[in-house]
Amino acid sequence: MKKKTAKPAEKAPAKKTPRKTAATPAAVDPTPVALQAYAGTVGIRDSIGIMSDQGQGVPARLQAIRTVQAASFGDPDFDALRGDYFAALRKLSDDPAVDVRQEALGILAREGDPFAEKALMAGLLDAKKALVPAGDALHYLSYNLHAGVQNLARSIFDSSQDQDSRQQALRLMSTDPASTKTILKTLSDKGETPAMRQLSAAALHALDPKAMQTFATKAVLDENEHSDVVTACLTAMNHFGDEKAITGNTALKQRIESLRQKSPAKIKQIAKKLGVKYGF
Amino acid sequence: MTTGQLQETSEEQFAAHVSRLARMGSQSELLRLFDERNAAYLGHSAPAIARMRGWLLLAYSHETPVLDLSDCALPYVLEELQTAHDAYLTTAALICLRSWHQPDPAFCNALSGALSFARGHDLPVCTGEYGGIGLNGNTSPMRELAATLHWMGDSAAPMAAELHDLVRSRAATVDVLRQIESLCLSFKQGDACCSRLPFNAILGRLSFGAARPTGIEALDAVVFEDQMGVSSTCQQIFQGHPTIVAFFYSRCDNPLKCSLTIWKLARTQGVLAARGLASSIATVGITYDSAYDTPDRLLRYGHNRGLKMDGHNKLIRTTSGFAVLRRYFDLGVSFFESLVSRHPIEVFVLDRDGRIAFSYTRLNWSEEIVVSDAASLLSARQSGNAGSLSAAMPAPGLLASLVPKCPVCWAGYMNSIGLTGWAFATPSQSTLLWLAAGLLMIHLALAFWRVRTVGWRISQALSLVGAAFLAANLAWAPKGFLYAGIALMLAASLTDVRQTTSQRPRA
Repeated sequence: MKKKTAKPAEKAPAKKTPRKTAATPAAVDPTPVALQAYAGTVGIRDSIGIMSDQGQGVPARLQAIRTVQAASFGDPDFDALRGDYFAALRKLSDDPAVDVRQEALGILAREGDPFAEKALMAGLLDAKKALVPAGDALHYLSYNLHAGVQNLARSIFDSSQDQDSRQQALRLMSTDPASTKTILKTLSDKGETPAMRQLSAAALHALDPKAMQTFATKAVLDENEHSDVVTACLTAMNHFGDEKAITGNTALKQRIESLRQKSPAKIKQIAKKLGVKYGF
Repeated sequence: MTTGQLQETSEEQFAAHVSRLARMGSQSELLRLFDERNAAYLGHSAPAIARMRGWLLLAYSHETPVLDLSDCALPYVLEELQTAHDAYLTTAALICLRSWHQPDPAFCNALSGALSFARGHDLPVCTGEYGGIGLNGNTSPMRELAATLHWMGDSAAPMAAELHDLVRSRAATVDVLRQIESLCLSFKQGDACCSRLPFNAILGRLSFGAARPTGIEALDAVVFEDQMGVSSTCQQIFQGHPTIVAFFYSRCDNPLKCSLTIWKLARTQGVLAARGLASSIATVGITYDSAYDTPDRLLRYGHNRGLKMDGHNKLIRTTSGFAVLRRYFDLGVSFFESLVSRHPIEVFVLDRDGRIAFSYTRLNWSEEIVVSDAASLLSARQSGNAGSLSAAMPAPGLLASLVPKCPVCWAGYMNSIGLTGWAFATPSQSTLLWLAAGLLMIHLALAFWRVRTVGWRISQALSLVGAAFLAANLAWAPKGFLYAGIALMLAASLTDVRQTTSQRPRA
């Protein structure tokens, strides 16, 4: 999946280079070092100007956003311009350049900005208002557990054909106890992709660890189960398994023994670990 | 929809309803909407509830520009500031606080919470739009905080250190920093006087609930599970000893609510141990989020916050009957789907029969007070005494507020009960004369000390002239000097209070 998080820019050089005028596009050097040299209130203000200026190239605008974002971590002058920065980011949320839009929305969502959350929710409810693809919107909204998107995530998971959106929805559902049944159903459904089922395994473990262990035992004993799912289940048993339940299950012991002898390398490795941990 | 009790409603309907009530001046109806248990909040997410409550606070402050300090809305406003977690809601609460008739040093605690939040979350807020969401915000939490501090004037003096730190670290816009810096320079040492003691606010801070007639039997249907996965009944957990109960949930994203509550519960255990009460008073944390907070999560949550957990002290969840528990404690929690969307701070002390003896809701609680309250239940002969005990609880607070705390207070007390009374002594009562002379000297020393700190004022001049009249009365007893001295001192006290209060800017 495409990573949407903004990389913190590298540390600005100790010595400031002479400030360049940001008035004309030609005067802007989009290279990271030149922008990062804009330290202090004036530099941050100029960077906010560049990121908002649609006449600038997209790389320069993205770099300007990252420069200000980096300043937000430790530049003592940033607080004076925090409001201006967030106001500018809100304006970028419907920028024609999709990369700029995504960068802005990602930062706002991570800060739990209500403007961005409302815009993203509106896009999920009405595709015409969508600022970014549904998968991205769900990803951004997942930064705030209390954004109130769980119900919507369930509905997208059930109805969407887009696997990326469904995966993001499933990730969100892993914080929602009301989704436990749907997650268990997805995990048991061999018609789902292995990636989706692995995600379901992680989600089920988060919501109901006992149910996950029960499923894991069943899946490991199932000789027709997909190897990726078996791997996920053995890993869950290795880290979170109930020793009494595992060592007391003769069929399971025999199955793990056979997996140690004959199975794909990944499974063999975890089966060995299990044998060492539980003494068989 | 003419009452404050709305049924499930959309945000738009809520906003329109609030605006209508505000136009009609229905203060009591608006007040009812502050309660989290109001049906209007049902089915709304946390951000939606923040928007609704922010709009409500703004409507309330716009409609009722002068409210009494004892107004029921005060704890709600202070709560939003003390546990600030949302830029719009914090901004609205700051604006609303300025609607009070006069600043009070008691607000500093809540304003400190708002300051800590605003330093890292100074987002643009558009107060004209519902939810404060707009491309062009007209204000921000930090701007409203600066305005509120300016309104507080000298009452914000207890926050001087924090404000100096803010200015030093340049953690705000230049205009805000200038405003705060000028305020810091204007603080006068020793101006925090008990004439402005947070009397009503102290009482409002903790809500002391009388023991409820409902017995623990009401919780018979509830099954609890502790951090070790052990199931228990309410009798097993709450009966036979007083219990300090705190509500929380591990997914709470406000560090000033649940996380802090469990830290404080751990500190409460320390206070209990120090007083030798650890084995006779139990501490229990109950999660609102029973479905998510599994025993393993409870164990880790408590452990990470230094909570001692054993058979006596535990974190528990309900495996069935949460609705019954919610009714029993009258909890202010609301849910959006399976997630908690809003809750106040809720701490209770149960007596040895499991009945609620004391409750501390909304604003932050003191571990010492809670332990003292729980300890008082140990000495109560009968569980029925809890009600009378709880009713008497404000008494220490009332007495504490009468203790003199500054030179002006001492002078006032001497004027009212000491000096002026003993000044009636006749020459034959030599002991009383010496006592009156001694008090007069102390009064003069304090008056000069006050002159050094705040400069010469008409009140100090009146006070010194009054003292001179009383001294003359003690020495020669000329006719009329006694009453003139008393009158001048009384006038000095009143003038001083008037000067001090009139210097504070109004909203």
